[in-house]
Amino acid sequence: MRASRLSLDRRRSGAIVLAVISIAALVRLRSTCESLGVIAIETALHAALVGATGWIFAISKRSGTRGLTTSQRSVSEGDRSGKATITRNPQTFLLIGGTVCVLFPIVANFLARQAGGGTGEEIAYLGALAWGGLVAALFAQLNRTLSISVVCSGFLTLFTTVSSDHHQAVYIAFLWGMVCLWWLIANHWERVEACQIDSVKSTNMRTPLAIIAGGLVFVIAAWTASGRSVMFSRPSLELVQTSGGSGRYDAAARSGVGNGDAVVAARDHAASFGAVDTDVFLDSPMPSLFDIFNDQFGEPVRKKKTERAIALAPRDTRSTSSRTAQSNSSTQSFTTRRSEPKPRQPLKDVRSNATMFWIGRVGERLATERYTRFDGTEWHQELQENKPTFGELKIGERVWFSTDANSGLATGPYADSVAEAVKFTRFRSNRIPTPAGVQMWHIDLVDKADFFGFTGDHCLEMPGRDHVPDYTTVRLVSRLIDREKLEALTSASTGAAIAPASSEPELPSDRGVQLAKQIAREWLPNSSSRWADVQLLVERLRSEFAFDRSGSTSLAKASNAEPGADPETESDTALDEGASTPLETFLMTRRGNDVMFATAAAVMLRELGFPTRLVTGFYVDPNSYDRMAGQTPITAADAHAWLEVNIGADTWIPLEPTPGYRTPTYRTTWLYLIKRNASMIAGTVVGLLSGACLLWLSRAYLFECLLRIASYFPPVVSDRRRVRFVVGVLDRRCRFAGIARPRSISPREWLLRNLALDRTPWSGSLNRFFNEADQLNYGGGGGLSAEGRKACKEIWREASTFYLRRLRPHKSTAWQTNKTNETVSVHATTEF
Amino acid sequence: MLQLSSKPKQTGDAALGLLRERLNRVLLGKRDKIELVLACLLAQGHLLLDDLPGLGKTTLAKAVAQSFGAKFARVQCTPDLLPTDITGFNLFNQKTREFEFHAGPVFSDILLADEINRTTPRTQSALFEAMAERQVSIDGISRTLSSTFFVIATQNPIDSHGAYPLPEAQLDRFAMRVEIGYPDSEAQLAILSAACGPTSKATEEGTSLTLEALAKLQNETSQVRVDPRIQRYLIELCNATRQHESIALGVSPRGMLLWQRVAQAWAKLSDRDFVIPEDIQAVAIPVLTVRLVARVKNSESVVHSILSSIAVPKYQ
Repeated sequence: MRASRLSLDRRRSGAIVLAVISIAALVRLRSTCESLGVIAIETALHAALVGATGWIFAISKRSGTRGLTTSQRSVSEGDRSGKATITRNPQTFLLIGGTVCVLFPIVANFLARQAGGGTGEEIAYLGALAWGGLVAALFAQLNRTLSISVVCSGFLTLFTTVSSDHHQAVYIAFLWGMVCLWWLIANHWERVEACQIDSVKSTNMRTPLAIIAGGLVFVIAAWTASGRSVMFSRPSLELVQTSGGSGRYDAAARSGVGNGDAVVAARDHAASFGAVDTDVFLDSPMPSLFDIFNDQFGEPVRKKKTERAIALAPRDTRSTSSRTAQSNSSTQSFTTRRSEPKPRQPLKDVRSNATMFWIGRVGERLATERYTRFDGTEWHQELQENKPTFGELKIGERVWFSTDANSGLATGPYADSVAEAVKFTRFRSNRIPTPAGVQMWHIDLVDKADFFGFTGDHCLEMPGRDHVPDYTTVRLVSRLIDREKLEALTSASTGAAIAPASSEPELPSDRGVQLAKQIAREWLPNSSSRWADVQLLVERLRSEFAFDRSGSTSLAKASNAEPGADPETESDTALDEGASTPLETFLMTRRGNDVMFATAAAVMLRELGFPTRLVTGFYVDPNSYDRMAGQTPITAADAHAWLEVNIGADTWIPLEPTPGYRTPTYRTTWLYLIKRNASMIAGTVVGLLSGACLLWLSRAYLFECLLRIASYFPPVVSDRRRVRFVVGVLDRRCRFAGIARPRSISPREWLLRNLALDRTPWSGSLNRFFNEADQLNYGGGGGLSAEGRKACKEIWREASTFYLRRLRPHKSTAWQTNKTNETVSVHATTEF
Repeated sequence: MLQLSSKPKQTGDAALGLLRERLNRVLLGKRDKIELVLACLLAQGHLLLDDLPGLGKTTLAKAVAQSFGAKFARVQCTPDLLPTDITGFNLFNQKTREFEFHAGPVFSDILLADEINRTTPRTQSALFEAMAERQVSIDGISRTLSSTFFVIATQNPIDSHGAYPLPEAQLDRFAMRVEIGYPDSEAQLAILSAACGPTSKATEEGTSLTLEALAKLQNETSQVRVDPRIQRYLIELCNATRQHESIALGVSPRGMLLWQRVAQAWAKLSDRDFVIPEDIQAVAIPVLTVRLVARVKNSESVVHSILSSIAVPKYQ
């Protein structure tokens, strides 16, 4: 019994390590599609739960058995009272705690899904397995439990490794394998050595029978799982979420079952963002970017409408027709029997009112049109001749298109790149919305450069089409604006470069524009054409003007909003009778839609000397981000207008003057942030440090204050606790006063004799207190008398830190003399 | 730190108080030592007075004996002292033609063995049997001693020439060792002025405490409550003596038992019926210095270091 307990503890550590590795593997798997913060919080909660279980188990074990084994104890307890068995039996606690630990991931996930978060059920099941393994390893009392724990963690590690796309996953499996090997060898090597070949004998028939039975179960399970059995051809019960295989769709479904049989195009790319990147809709009547060049299989599906397409080789397509059965038996003839057509599940459309889906940064602005000329009421496009050019670039097997190296992207304030993608579903324009600084783009197998082009207003488009074909996924690489470089570029030395270009369209001189210019000059009387001024102006617009979406929403409407003509703008006109343009109305009322904000900012910035242009497009609303899918649906309601400012070197930087929309994010390095906020950081650090110092210095005062406050609310506690509390307070006060009590001296001895408190007027209380405390502790119980309690309170009030502090010099002298006396007398006796 | 002068309260049993006062009148200015002697008496242990000549060892022993009206005997140990001089012997009576037993000094209630380290080990061991077993065997006949048999042995730490130092095993039989030490100036003044008066009867008449009362007190002492936490503290201290680097031989279980009993007596003297950690500490030096075999000369400092290494039990 004793030996097995020892070996159990030795093996336990290995099993715990294995379980922890498997949990790490699960966390790694989850981290690919869930936020690390949520995982960390959940893991911490869970660890706390396991810790609490262990703690309760340890406490109940300590308070329960002493000398008896658990079972004996519970039996004898059970005779006395059933309640005692329940409250004292550590096994019960363990069972409850363990069950709670195992069920926690499932319950937590269920609740999270109710609240709109959560993850796939299979992850919750895996979590239950992982923590079950850990709990089993931690509290195992049988070798078998440990083995179960190892099996759990092994399965989990293998599963996560196999289901992961990441290369690094395999290292965790290696690690697990190594630890497991070490564990197995350490535990079983002696037994292996002891089993010589000639000593191994089959003792009974049960082992082969068990093997056969197990094998049968395995084969049946494999048959069932592979879908060959008729019974399970169609899943009737959905144990884990699917994305449509059983007719249901769940956002938590991971890569795997697609929207039925047809939509499994993502065969090379499990985490494919689009429903298809290539050819699935070849048999759809809708126009596609791709066409099959194939004359072997009869007529291709006739499209309702054809557009330019890329011809695909037949090997790029997949055969979806079923095979016809043949019979070469003795009848020497073809069978007339044909295979029954497979019942095809009717595919359900997954509806969404999104025009496109965006995978990438949220809060981003995707430009579709750019306007340069403003005539006081309306913006006009001025199509330019010098369109940006681009070239081809082969990366892997795919062709990418990239803007020229000598464009503004190379010399502009950019650093790093970010890969993003947009999938069009119901987008009715041939322009491809792109973020600022787009550098490269690519559509799956499209390798012809003339599929793309730039419009006169510098927007990416697919020329010669009505609109971008539906279900097209465009992948984009855009450069990030670096704040440090941006500020360097617009610093005073190069500020001259921002001087208005000669091609800058003239602004009309109506009242709205004049007012805007006037406000700009008021806000920035001595502008030096620097980035800080731009920021300041935009910030003031954002803070002092109110955004009103209900106002005219489109540019056309804004231009038509003549005073008096539109009854909706009655309030505006009421405020200012003389307002002639929407811009003026906006500036007077300080309310308006995003177009007005952008217009006002553009006009004001031109007054300061910056070339500006208005941009319309879509705003990637962070609020509609779908965390499960990792993408953001963009609807018509996300249409937005903003402006771009030219800082020279052919670089246009987007600005966001409309409150309620996120300002463009710039990439900043830590070093830069620290440099920028050095004074604030230093101030905070100094403040915190000095605050901490102050707290530390005044800890005695704080302690005394707390005690003084607490003394008015005497706690209702047992006498023992009261004694302990008072002694603890006295000890703490002595420590604060610099005369800490050595552990080997009793409190009474220290206070009364060493600190000579027996000369104080309240030494009687002190004596009484210690007498009663001793009686309570060592004299077989009893309780504090009324006087004793009064003495408690008196000591509590009188023996303050400050009083004790005054004793310090006294104490040291008394102490010294004592010591010297002692040593002298000892010396005398030994010397003779 | 620990101070032996921590006086227990002077109330206690009325008779005990009388005894205390009487001893204090005899030995001026040594209240703390007298407390220790009383504790030793209540604990039924034997006392080793280890000090220079002329400090009042014998005076104290005699005063104790007289206080009880007890039978007092005194042996002056010399190298030629024989065991029979202590235990007694059988003498053949020519008249009655029978052996007659002549009881030695051990057949008394209080025995003062002066300068015990001057006699031979053989004689010493005869005394130690009496001390440990409270009986002596003479010519094969065991004779029981008085139930309150109490030995006060004295030894002179200087002038070790020709002395037989007591072996450790025998020292263990003493409950404690007390050094009386020189009285302070005020006490000396009192001693001198007392001596200047008219020559009166040196001894006081009457007894303060009967032997029966003493036996009852001793019985009560053994029933003083010792909390398990105090006992654990005591055990930790004993373990520390066994592991201390400058101690060759730690406290034996017998020593531990005696320590507990003396602490009980100390509590009893303080008019308490339970032992507190201070009691254990207060008697540590007299109890431990007699039985620890220290590698260094200054065994008191060793005891101090042991006491300061073990934490006192916390209030719970």
